[in-house]
Amino acid sequence: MRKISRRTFLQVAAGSAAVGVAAPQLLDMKAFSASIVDAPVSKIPTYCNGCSTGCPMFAFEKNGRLWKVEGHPVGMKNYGTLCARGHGVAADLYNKDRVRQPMKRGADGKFQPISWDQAFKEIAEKLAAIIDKNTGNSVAWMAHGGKDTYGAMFLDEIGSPNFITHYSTCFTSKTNAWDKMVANQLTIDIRRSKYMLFAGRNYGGAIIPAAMKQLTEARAQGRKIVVVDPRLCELAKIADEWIPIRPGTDLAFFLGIAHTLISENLYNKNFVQKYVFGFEEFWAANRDFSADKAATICDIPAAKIREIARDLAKNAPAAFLDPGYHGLHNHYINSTQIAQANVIVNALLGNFYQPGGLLPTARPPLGSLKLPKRLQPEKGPRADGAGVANEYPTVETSRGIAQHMPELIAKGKIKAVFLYHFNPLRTAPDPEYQKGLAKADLVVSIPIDWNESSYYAAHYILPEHYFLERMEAPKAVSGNISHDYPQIAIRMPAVKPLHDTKPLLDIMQGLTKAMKIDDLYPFTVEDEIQAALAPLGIDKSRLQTEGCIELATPLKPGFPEKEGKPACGTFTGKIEFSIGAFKLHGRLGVPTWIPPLVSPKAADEFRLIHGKQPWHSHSQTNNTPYLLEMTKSYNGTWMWMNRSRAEKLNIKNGDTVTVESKIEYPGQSARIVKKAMQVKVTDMLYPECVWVPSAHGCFSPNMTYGYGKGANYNDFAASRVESLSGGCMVQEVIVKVRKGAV
Amino acid sequence: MSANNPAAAELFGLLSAFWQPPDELFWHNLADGAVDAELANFSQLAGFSTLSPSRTSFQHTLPPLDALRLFYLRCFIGIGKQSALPVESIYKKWTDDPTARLPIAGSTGYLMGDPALHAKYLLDHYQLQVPPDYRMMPDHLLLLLELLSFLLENRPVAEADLFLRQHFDWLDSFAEALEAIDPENPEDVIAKRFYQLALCNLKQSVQCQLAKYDQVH
Ligand code: SF4
Repeated sequence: MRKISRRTFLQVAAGSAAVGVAAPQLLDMKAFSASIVDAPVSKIPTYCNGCSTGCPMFAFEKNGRLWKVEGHPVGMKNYGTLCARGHGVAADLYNKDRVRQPMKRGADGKFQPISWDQAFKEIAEKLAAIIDKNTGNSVAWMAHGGKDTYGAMFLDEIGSPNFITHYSTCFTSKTNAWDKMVANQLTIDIRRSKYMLFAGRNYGGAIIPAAMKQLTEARAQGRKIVVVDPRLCELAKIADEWIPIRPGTDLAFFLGIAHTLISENLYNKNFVQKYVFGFEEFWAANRDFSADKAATICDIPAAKIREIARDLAKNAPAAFLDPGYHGLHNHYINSTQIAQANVIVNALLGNFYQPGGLLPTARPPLGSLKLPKRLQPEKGPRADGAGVANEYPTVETSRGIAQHMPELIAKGKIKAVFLYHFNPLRTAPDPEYQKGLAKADLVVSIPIDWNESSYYAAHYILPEHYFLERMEAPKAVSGNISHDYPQIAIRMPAVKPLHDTKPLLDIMQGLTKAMKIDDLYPFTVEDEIQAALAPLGIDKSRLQTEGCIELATPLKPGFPEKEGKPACGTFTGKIEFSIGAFKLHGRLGVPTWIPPLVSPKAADEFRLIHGKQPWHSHSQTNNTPYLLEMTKSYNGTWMWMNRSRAEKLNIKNGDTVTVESKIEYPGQSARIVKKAMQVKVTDMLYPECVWVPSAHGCFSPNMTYGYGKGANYNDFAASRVESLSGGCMVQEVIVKVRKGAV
Repeated sequence: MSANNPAAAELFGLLSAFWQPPDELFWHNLADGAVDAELANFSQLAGFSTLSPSRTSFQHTLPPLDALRLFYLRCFIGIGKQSALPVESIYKKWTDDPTARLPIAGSTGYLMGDPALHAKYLLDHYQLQVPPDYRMMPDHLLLLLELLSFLLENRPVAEADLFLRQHFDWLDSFAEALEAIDPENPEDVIAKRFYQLALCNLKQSVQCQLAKYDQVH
């Protein structure tokens, strides 16, 4: 009967037509759905991927699908809970906007599906040609988050020094200053602290569930929480006191506290004598920077600055100034000095390695694979200039500088870029400038979704398994807040992969095989798990069942010493108030007051600042429908403006305004950026600034839920590099605001 | 009671080809009118007399193969601005499981919903093997149509009847999603019209077959 032949996708087995009648109730979809309600449920341990906190959790699988997620009760970051983002990203497993198969950009600029093998072959050929001509130094691996070992191993093999993280768009001045001054990133001990000062750190917006629980308990017990922030942020709402500050002047506030502590003899002299290097140098440079002087700059009354300093001293060492995170540690010209001053205030309190003050993170002694040594090419200097004389010599080479990659490409320093879960087109300043990434000879993105960098810049997209589909080697659960015992957690696959995606190890094995690199990854994730657990004496199957395990050896407080001498890991073994590396390169070793780069002057000018919303992880979650519903209910894309300023501009709550900034690069004519935003008029914001949530402004058309919603702070900032730590200074931006749409 | 409508089985089998990634062979069959002729023939044999002949003139609404491919990629694979995935789960509540604690449990728009589980159950039950690319999308329209075709040809009427009623009731929502796609160029306009026509034809064929079953009832 059939005249034309056509493809059929279903393969009919010999006996298909003759199979027995299905149980009648199961032919009926409703009855079928009812029948699977009682299917068995499996409980699989993993950890959340909704933000860098990585809360341990359990995923529950039923009928091959995710059924629910729950925080792991042992997890020191979440105590059995998950925040809204955790639930949102779990459900995103089924989001239709994931990249579902490898993609290649055709000559017409449009993407086409491509097989894995073909993609590996083509990328390998292109990469080999690039390396042949320009050496491995022309290849960069850019990653969000910590150092992923597979990417680093790949760069070692091809001879590239260019492992670049997102830190320079997040909080690189903190890691830089703390590593150089303390050789450690200490965490706050909320549970034993009597007085807690937070500046530029909002645990209620950039949520860490356990921190919020501890802080709420602290408040209920009458232990003091003071929040200094231009905005009445979520943490300020549960604090004893919210003290608004002029944005960009936290350094002055910290120096004012330090001055009070020293000039009023409130600081811990024993501690300073024994464990601090460079105190005199700091004091000599800041002797004149009193609380009164600080007050004129930061707009917090001098009496209040003194009161805070005295209260901190009274409660020390069970008191701290939170070391901070994204809020202050990247966004100003003085961000490095802010981080330095933070260390100094805490050290003056003598709270380092002390209960109730700052404690190191309890780290499990995880093992690693012993791999055969390989003959690898020598690496040249880093293309981004981090650690390179006459460029950015004091920037950490372990983190690098991400935001000026388009310039490195334009200069011919970088020819090929790998983006591993990194989306600089949205998360680094000036998306138009960041689009220059596409000018590299080869851009390979390894994402989950159709983020902007993949959509506009990638030549190949190699989608990774979703976090609920993959297994990963154990990791330490640590950081931000202290916990007395080390913990480890593992990520196990909760469901079978939905799409034609791969885990990173498989991707790298496929790619290196196509490049004819033998056995660069001669192991499986199972092998990595075995190796990691070997020193701990924990059985693999136990970890794979329990998911998160707390080890029995507790952390010991007390300043690290060796043979009776301070040995915290710095050159002197002490906390170094003066950074030698800065001096070596002609800069001051100690922090002194440095004014912000720009200041608003005219009636329609504001400093643009930003922050996290409790239900979004910056732009990572801006295409998660469940979380976008919350955005809708809370008018979450609106820009905050102080009422007095709004009235002067005749702007009312809910009005649409045009936000405008001027983006300038040396040798180029200025570009004006204009975006329409709705305004939340409020008394809860310092008048000189406007505040925008960091999540929105999605401009990848394939992210169909988030596309076109709101604007982003990065839209308004030029790409710049702060010279000491490599930060991107996106709060050194003045915007003009006027009523009415663009 | 079996072999309920072999001509309809052929018809739905042929209609499934419209929802496959476009290939040269099928495009030529469309271009030379062979598909139109076969659709008309199968419709008549299946007793779908109410099908309007103008609805089946794909030969005259056919865009170039490249345009068809691009539109398919953009719209049905989801590469590009806007999409309308031809997947049942997207248009239905994700699950009826009252115990499910995922925030999307009662929402539409997600893959691997209850319809997918049911389609997978049926495919397994009838020992029909799905190519790897579609294993996690068993409720893709092209597979549903091939499964329908299989049932119409091989299985008792009751089985095809129920399947048709329960797994093809989302086509209006799919049509709305397709309608909302903004063509990016003149060839897109033609490609969109082509697929709208294919969907219209499918909906009418579904209605005709349902009407037949109603008569039996
Ligand atoms: S804080 Fe929330 S988003 Fe971050 S890891 Fe924990 S549950 Fe996930």
